[in-house]
Amino acid sequence: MSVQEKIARLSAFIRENPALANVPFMTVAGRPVSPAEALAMLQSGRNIHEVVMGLSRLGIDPDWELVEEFYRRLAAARPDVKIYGLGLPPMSPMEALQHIRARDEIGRQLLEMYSRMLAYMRERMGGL
Amino acid sequence: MPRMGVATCIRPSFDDATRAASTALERALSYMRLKMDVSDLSGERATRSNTVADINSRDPLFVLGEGHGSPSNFTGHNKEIIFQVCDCSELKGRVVYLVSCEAGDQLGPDMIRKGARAFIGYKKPFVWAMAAIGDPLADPYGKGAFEPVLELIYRLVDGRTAGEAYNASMDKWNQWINHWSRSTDPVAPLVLQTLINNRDCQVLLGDQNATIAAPAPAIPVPIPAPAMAIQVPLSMILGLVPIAAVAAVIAGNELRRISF
Repeated sequence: MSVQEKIARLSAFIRENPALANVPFMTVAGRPVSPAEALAMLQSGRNIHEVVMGLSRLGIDPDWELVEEFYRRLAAARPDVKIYGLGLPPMSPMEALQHIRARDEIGRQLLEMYSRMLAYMRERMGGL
Repeated sequence: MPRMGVATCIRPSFDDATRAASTALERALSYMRLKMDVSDLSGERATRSNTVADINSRDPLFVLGEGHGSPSNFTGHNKEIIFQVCDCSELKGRVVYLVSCEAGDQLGPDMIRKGARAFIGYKKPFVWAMAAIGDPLADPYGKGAFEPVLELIYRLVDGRTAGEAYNASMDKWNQWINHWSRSTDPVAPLVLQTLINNRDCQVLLGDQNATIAAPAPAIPVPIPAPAMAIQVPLSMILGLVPIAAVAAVIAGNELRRISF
């Protein structure tokens, strides 16, 4: 698939799934980037190889950095929202972030949840 | 032999998570009561001894529960273990649905090995997000996590097979996932994670053709929203002698299939 085709697919994904446009989904040049940021890189010709490689491996390897960045952003945007579970303690985004940073059992479960979302994104992108 | 049309419901409500789940299941109970003989072990009555006594005396075909769980157990009030691996033989011949974390991992398979007819549950944590503590079905972020649960119960009560009810629930998960994928709400990615997680971890084990009630058409009646219920004299509604008071909902009523 050419870079132009990847740009078209990524653009369509962002258009159809705005909720996921700004979710950290791969690491490029040592930092987490979102689909919107990856698209901008492809369109401007920056980090093309890394973005293409990242797209091909999306959701395959669990990545603590991505989920940590996600909760860091959520804690800043909506510190009031809470996560509940029938087996997990209630958590604010900041408390979730602390579990992720501690790499403890709850953090691992949050990482698994995040990985399932990345797999969903990969499926929605149609195999980039 | 377990009795068709008879159900036992286990609903602890001692912390924020169980209170929310119990409130959500109240709607399912309202629907179940229209068609089934239901015993509701709610709050402090959600104990192992009460559950076993109820099962032994009423012999329900359907056992429904919400509560904290782990791969090997399901708990009631104050996390008292109600069912656990190697100690769930009282469920032989019954259809079991546990809205609980991880019980679908080891406990569900063990129930099937011990003779349960069908088991529905979750292999990983059952999770949801909420803007504020309360009724998740009245919360913009929590609603999508419990509508698929209710859909599954409604279909079973309508006499659909476990497989049909499970598929209807999966359709509901997918509808909500599509809904939130299109959202620009900053919490949408978190809500999506919970929905995708719950959908992907929902399991049906055992007999997919199992039923809990005779086939009957769905009843599109308003299902009470417990958090908003108030007491209204029956006479005000029917113009009759006030022989009783009934719980009525003056706001927040919804047809049960109104969302999707």
